[in-house]
Amino acid sequence: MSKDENWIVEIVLENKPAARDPVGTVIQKDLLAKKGYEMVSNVRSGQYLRIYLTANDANDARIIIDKMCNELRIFNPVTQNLTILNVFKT
Amino acid sequence: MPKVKSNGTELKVDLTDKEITQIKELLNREPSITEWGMFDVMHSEHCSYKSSRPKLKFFENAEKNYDRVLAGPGQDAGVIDIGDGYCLAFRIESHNHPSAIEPYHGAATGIGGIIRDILCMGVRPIALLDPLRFGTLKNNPHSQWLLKYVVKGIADYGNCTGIPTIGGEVEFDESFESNCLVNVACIGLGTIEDFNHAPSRAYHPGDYVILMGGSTGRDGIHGVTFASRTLTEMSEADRPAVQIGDPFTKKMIIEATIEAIKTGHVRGLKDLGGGGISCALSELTGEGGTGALIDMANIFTREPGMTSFEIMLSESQERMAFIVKPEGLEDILAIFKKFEMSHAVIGRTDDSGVLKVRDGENLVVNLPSTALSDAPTIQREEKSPDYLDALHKQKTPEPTKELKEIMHALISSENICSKEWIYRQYDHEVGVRSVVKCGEGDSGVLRIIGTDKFIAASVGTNSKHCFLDPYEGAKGGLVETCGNVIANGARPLAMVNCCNFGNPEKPESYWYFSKALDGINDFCRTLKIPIVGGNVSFYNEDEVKNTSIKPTPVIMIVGIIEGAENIITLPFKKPGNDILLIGETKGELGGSEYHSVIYGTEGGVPPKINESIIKATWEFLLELYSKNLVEANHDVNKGGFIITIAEMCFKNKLGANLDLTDSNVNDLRDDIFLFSESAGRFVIESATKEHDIIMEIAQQHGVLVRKLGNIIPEPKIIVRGLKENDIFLDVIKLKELHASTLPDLMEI
Repeated sequence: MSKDENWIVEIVLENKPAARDPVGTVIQKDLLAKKGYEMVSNVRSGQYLRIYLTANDANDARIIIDKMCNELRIFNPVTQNLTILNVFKT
Repeated sequence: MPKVKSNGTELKVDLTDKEITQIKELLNREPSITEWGMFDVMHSEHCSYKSSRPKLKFFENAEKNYDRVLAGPGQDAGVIDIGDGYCLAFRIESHNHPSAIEPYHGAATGIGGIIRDILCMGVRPIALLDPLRFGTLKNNPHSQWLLKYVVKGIADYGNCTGIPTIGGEVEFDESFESNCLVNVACIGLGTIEDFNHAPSRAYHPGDYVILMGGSTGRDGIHGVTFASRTLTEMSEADRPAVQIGDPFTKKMIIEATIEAIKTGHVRGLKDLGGGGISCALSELTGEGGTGALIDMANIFTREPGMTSFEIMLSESQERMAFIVKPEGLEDILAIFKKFEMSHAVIGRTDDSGVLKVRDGENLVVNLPSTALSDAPTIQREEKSPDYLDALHKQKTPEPTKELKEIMHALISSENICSKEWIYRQYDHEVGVRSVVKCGEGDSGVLRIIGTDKFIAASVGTNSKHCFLDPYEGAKGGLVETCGNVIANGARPLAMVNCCNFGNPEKPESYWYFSKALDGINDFCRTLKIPIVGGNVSFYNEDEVKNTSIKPTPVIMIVGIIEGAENIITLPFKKPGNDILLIGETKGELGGSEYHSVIYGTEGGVPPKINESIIKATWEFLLELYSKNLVEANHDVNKGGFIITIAEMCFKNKLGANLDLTDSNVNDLRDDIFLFSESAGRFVIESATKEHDIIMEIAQQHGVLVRKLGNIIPEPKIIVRGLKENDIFLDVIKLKELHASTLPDLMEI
């Protein structure tokens, strides 16, 4: 087993695609209201977290974060999706 | 689960084979897949009340028998005339299953739904109340998580829409661990003219059908089917998407709707909740005796490519359907534009008696308007559970602890302790109507601006009592909630209920439901309380332990207080005044907090209700109020009258010097006397000089009243005249215990 290393995991939590997203809707409506951005058809908001931790390797870091977010209800899988954006060593 | 087919597409439905045959016979053809979906939803337990209707039909016809009732069961909310041209609309419903899997949005959208129900009666929603049930909190992160986010969901949604949460009730019991109960109640106030403007029916052919508010998305399709089954051990991510609430849009919907109604151009109004647009359109036209032609292309959707099936069954939040006179169309659309609310004219009513929905060239729905709302009922079997006899025979054990120690344990127990941790998160004063602060009265009290009248409202029931005896327990819930509004100085005017039970296909669960409804029915007929609405939530089961929740027929009562001087509050006020106990204390400890907290037992015989004594007690109190003889009043509830007295001491840090020598009329053991939960009792404060006149009035009404002692300025409770040793209690210590339980459990 390799020694613990310092890792950063970046995650995004967002409402499931079928669920509504009032924050995104307001941003989109506001953009359209200001004119010139009619090309924007949809905006979805989310929450970005950057988590610092020690782990054996990148995969271990992913597993820890996934487990932690589920167990501690950092997000609710019933309404939200969790995406791991990046895992990198510091 | 049976499958149906249409044009090669297959659909799993919750319909019975008999229902499938009946539907085909009714239409004399094979329904389209969209129509099958609509039948499936509208015939679900949640929409059709197919198991509960055989019992609900025994309720008195409130609209016919009571002049003050303007709208009774079957409408979106009950409405009563409260004089001076005003009416009150109120309703309670459940949002249990969504909240059990997503407490924040589940509770928030529950609030959203009940606000819409009140709004569709044409009046402004002015107050919310929330009875809740969770598993016990201690060492239970799951129950703590549910409580935390349910409360936050209610608080955020209510606060954002500017509607105060003025009351509620919460019980903790392990039977609710995996299936918590989140019931939501709302009160609306408006003029009778406003109410008459907006029936939830489309009576006139040629009117426009307008959809206003949020867009239609793929969320919550089949939410009602989900509510009509037990929560299974499905993977969480696979469950149907719980709705996301949007309180700021709701606020705009409230204002736009009220302004639209004021024009007089709206002739029908319905919110889109369970069953979505299918349910709203079939109820509007079916019960209004009209038909409608709807063009699906005009329904604004959130995602491209939605099928007619998805559009008709979507339960997306924050939508309202308006039926508008042709000459008023421009004015109504201008109002919706002003509030920047999305809207579309989706069709027109006609006199065909048929609901038609067009998707391009195809007629995807072509059903008689009444077909969807005429679901057949099912006569369920009922059987009393085998375990009840043994439970009833359980006796109160000999006390092994000192009475003082027991008192400390009870006052800090989860079910008796202060609920301030919950209600301080709610804004209970927004809207400037709230008069009595949370914790200072047994019910929420609101002023009716422009009059000298006040609304008092309360919700609750005792699930443990109902578990042992649903008939007496349901009556007990009525005694308690009516007692709450009476303690504040109001006369109860009408009730609505929210019946939370297990799977009705189990004879034991249905027995609980059936007996509870008998209790409600008998009590309300005797005490002349009109039942103006209700909601039934079945399938509340703990799938892991394979048990039902404790039966919970939640009662909501509203009453009116005439004159500000007649509002009574709970805290003791003046040292020297008398403390009187109204009502008889019997050895009724079945399902009591004393049994469960001290001995960990649930059995025994729960309180029985004697309607004639209850009625006499109410009339007695109302007469005392009319003569200004009462300074404080608190109804006796969980933990018995000694807990009631302690709670009355807290606010002004006063004490009580009690001598119980003559008050134990049934010669009960000390612990049984102190902690009995006999129903219909009150503790009042009154001036010592009024003692004789109060006793005289009590005798005229045949009500048992005993002076227990006097209020003292020192914060201590001295109890003398017991069979065993006297008790000396420190009010400050009790108050700390009472206040710290929930924060200690909930705050890290």
